[in-house]
Amino acid sequence: MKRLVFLCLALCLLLAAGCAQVTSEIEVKSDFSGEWKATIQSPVPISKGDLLSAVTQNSNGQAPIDISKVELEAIGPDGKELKGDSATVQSQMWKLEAKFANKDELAKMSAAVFGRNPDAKINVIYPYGDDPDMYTFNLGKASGATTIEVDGKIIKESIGKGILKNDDTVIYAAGDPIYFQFKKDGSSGLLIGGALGIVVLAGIGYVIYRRRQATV
Amino acid sequence: MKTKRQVTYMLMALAMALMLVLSGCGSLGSSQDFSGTWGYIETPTMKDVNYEYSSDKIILVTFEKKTDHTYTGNFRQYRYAPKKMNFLNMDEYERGDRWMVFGIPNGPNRQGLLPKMEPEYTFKEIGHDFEPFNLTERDGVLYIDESGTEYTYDSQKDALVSGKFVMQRIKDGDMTNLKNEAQQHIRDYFQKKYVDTKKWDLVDIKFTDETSGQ
Repeated sequence: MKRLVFLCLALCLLLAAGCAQVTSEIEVKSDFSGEWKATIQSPVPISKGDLLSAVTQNSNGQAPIDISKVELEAIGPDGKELKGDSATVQSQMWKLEAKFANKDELAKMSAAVFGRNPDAKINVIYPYGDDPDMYTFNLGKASGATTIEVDGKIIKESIGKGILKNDDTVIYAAGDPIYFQFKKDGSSGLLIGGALGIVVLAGIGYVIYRRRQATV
Repeated sequence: MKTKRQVTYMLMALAMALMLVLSGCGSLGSSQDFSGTWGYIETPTMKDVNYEYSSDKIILVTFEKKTDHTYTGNFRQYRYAPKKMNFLNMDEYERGDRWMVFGIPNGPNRQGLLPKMEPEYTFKEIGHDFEPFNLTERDGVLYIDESGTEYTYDSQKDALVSGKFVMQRIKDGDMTNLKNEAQQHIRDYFQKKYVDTKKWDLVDIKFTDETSGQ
């Protein structure tokens, strides 16, 4: 969670300065854990130390940020990782990676980034309608070009200004509200698998019964 | 025979399990009914509240069940609006000071007499631009479709809770608790700004209700 808060604040900080281009990719698995990868392109070289100190001073009322858990890499003009003292190395391009364990961590991240009412509990992924597999994904306004991949089928009519890359992936431009519905995979497979398993067990039981009957 | 009976029981158990899997899995569990009206006070967070302290809003939200697990929500909004400011001892105050007083004085006259004040407020419904909204209920939790805000029911308080945010149940349109709270905010404001600073002698604050009978 702290990694996520850090990541979000780092992105917001740069965006607030009005000078960074940020590309994000968010992958959400069927249990709503996932990963957020971001690339930050700054017009001027910045150091990891500057970035981290700015972020920790701007923690938006959240718990202190554990910066040791953040994966932050400086990238050179050749696209390769820059070597050297990680605290002082300066670069115009940074790669950030963070993992979230569940939808609650995503929700906390959202609260930290988008300044939603801290008194209320606000989700990013939450149920939608009467279909038990249908969910809404709502991350607020995109801070940069943002690609989201879910384990399921995105409802085309719900993506607003987003562009559907394929059934499970949608892309939003900076400033667009990230909001869509998707039908989660998994429970229908579990249903069929469970039914098949029981049928197989029943078959085995029947065979055993027939054999025993034949031997009596 | 014993084996046959055992196998028969096993097959029956498997058949029941199959039925449970086919009928139970994938369906939604039992649900909490959130229908009804719920209310809260929205107090401005700005540092300097305006003179009349009329910015508190009482907001009522009515949830109506649409399908097994979906609801629609509608807002109504009320507030105590300033109606009149009664200067009860204006003549006496003017006599002890000067021949005419402009506006409401803030402090004693030359004789040390404080203005005796009696503000009046009236409770009224106010317009809003909130659109009706949709909600989804799942496993006893209610989610607003548009924002993702979630509410759970607190049976001890008979209230809906979302983090630190609480909405009281409003039975038969009775907003007495919320109105009392809003009245207290107004009293506190006048006490702090005019009585504690010895600017006014606050006789009373009158509250009337334009919505009664609605």
